[in-house]
Amino acid sequence: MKISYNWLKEYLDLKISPEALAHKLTMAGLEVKTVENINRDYVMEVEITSNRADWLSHWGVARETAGVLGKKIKLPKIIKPKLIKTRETLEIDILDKVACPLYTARLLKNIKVKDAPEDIKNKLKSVGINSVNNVVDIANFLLMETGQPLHAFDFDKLSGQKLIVRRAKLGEKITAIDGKTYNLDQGILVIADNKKPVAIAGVMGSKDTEVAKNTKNILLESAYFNPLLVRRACRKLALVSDSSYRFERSVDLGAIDLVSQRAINLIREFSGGDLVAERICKNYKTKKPTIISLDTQKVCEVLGKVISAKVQKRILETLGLEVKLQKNNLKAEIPSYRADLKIEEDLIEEIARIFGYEKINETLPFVKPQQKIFDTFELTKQIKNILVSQNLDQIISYSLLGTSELEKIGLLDNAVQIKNSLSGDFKILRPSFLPGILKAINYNLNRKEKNIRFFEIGKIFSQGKEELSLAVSILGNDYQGVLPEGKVVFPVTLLHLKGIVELVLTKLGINEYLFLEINHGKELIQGSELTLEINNQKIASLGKVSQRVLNRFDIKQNDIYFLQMSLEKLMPFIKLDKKYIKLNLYPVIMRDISLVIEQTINITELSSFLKKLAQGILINVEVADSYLGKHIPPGFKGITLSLTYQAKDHTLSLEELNPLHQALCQELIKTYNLTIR
Amino acid sequence: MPNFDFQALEKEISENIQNINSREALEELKIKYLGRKGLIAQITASIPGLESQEKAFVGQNVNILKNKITQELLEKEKILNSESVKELYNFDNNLPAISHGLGHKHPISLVMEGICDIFTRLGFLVVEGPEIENEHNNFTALNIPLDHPSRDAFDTFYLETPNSKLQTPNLLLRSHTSPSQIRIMQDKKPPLAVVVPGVVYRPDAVDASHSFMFHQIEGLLVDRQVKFSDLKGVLGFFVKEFFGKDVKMRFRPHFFPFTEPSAEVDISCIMCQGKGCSACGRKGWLEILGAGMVHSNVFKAVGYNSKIYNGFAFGMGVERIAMLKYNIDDIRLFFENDLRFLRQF
Repeated sequence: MKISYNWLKEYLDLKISPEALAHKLTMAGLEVKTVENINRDYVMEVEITSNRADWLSHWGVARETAGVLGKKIKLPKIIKPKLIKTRETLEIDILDKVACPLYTARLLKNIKVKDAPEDIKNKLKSVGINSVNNVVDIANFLLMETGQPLHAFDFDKLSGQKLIVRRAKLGEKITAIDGKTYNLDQGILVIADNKKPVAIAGVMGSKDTEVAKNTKNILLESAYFNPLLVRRACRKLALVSDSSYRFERSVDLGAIDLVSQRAINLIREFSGGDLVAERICKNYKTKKPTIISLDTQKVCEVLGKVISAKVQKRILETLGLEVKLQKNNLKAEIPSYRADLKIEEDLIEEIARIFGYEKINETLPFVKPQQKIFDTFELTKQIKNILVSQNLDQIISYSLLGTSELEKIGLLDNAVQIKNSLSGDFKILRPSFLPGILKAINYNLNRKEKNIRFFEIGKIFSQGKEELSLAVSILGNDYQGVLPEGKVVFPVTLLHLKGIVELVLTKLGINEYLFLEINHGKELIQGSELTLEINNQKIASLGKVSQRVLNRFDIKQNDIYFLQMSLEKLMPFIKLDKKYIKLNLYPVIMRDISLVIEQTINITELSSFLKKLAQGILINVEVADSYLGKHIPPGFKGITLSLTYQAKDHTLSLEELNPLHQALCQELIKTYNLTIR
Repeated sequence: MPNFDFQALEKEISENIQNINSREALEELKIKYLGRKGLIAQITASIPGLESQEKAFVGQNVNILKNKITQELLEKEKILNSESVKELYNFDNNLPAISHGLGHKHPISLVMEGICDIFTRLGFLVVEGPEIENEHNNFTALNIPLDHPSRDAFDTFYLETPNSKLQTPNLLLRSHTSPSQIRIMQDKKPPLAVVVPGVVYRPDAVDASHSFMFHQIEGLLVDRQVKFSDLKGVLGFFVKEFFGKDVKMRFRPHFFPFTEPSAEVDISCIMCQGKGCSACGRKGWLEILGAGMVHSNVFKAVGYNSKIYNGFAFGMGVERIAMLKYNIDDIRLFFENDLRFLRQF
């Protein structure tokens, strides 16, 4: 909103420069965004917070300025205009009394509609309002001066010479002053004559009842309309005005009649006219003025600054409150235009901001130490550290996706949608990290990156629930180097992704888990898809992304591995406590066995079998080598197992071990379909 | 009958020894010439079968040869040991170093962890909350009435309600992390001090300084006799720790429905040290936080006795702070995940 410096000077003695005033107002809470020098005046663009409807006028800003500068304000005196006794009837029917608790109407006859006086026109120009005619201009002038919206009807255009304040009927229409036609319904409050609506209450009047050059008689409205109704009308009709903006924030009940009187006086002053009728329709009980009781000691305690009771009283008084002080108890009577002041804290804020926030020192509170909990933030921090150490880069992608992206991975069903999304590209809550990661991968592939290792931690959504999850995706080379004799590379495989998972699990103290091979036939992943299970619960899926899916994302590279793990499901299994296990100081003996075995044999099972047989002296079985050569029959593979033997309580001798090892080999041959090379 | 040309032998053996350049080769020659079945042993073994004249000749020369070979092998061994690793192991200093490399945390993560660290040192606990919220936690409990202009500043994404016969409350994506404070206060009794980092959503069109999805960190401290000066002190400490000792802070009165008194908190512009530049709109100050004393209606909503307890709350946009700290000019960079960007942090 624009505020003219010269205009303000009519209400206070301002010696301070406009820039300095702008700074002081800003530092007291009324933000002045710019100060422009226009035609020997200075115009301030102010930003008004939604709780201070009283600032939406020059009177309001003048009152604030008086409070900030500690000055006295002088507002124009309003003398009630003389009512000429006539037989004129003026009927005002308020059918919805709750929506309109106060409606004042004044009938001014025999006026001359012409140009407004220069002073009024200049003031309007300074705040960016165009001049129309003296009546409209005075109404706009008073809107900007007092914050009270007024509306003038051409009385002769009102059918039945009456006004009815009612809800519109479904099907009624109105062509407003902006030239557009609006469809009304019973949710909207209107001002009507005996035939049709002549104004959308609080928003805009009709075009055919507006005051024009040939208007002789006007009906001036000054009223209070329920903020919620005005707000809903504006939303429904997609129509706002300077008037509706103020009604939405609630206007000052105490000013409504006074501003109407001032309007009549001004109009009469410049264009004649006789006040022949007035109606004041009041449908509310005048409440006693709000009095807030404030403990001045409490003010000092809450702020952490000693401000004397006298200073507190003075501050509130310069803001226009009537204050009685008795020792440490302050009683402030709240003027009608300060509906935002309801509780003690509201007064404490007034005192603090006028006193000056900068005058309040900085102190540090004593924060009682609280029990630390291993919570999601700590967990994700640890996981990020582990993954970064594995040369993985963290990405953050949008949680909202478009329908086409979800179709590409076949997860559109059951996805949660947004009602009021701004675009179709961001309409659905992601049920998977895959589209986001593929997008990020594609972006970087297009910029010639060859080895990409991404991870993301965040929420994925299904059925209105969110789940904290981790995604990892790798492609290219896991490791590479140039040695004098040539380049060495190690392209990524699913085993690398499995390795990353195992690292995370190990670091979190999880040692019992299973990787199960699943060929879902689901398009998402091809070849080996692995499922990670802990305690029979599915925790994660990992595999190679199918070429079909990659094509849909325009990705040419084809060795892309993807993992998605639920951290939520992982959390109950995390064990961070460690206890030392006593070292076994007896020497170990290693033995290798080269086997040709069926592809389908589960090595973990075979290892358990061997360990059981060895009755405690076989402490580790590892796959040390693997080969697929011409000599291996189809359906079989060659592996070398490296066995580590160690006794718990003595040094294992070769005489002891050799027969045992031989026996184990024999059992292997007997039990499994394999040969030992 | 072997007729040993010792001179020729010696020459040949010397050459062979000169040409070797590895320890393996040296060992091989050692065995070849001096081993049990080596050359010297063979010659020596043949002596008994020789004529007596030859016996002496061969016996003498084979010893000389043996000593010569031993000597040369020793010298060669010395040379091999003293030669620089460079020649031995073929090292090329022009080749790039080989490393597994370290990955990078996203700059938003770094900033969030850094900010939470500062508050942790002050005694605050870090807690997280859900992204899907209801109107009560996101608005009503925070003293934001649903049908009022003050609600306009908090535009939100609403979820489509599934076809269910049950009356589900209006679910939305939280537009600030403040609802998590409501949850914490409903869960725990005072006193408490928490910071809540997290993702929030606002229906804003995406441009260089706006994103519909971004991150916030909120703080809340509730205890007896908490002061506005405490709020200034805590935030003043944070500002100095995060932005540097020379950065100034100022509080400006403002309005939030959930705090009273309320303030917006500025820092002196880090680009121009407060002198005024394009980054700070020539004002010399950058707004980074909203803060205030918790409104009693909020305490009422969570069942805290506002006669005994009061407290303060604050909130900041992480992207904005990261952009100031790292001199990043476009918020979209955080979500594009360009490796050339991510690798800088």
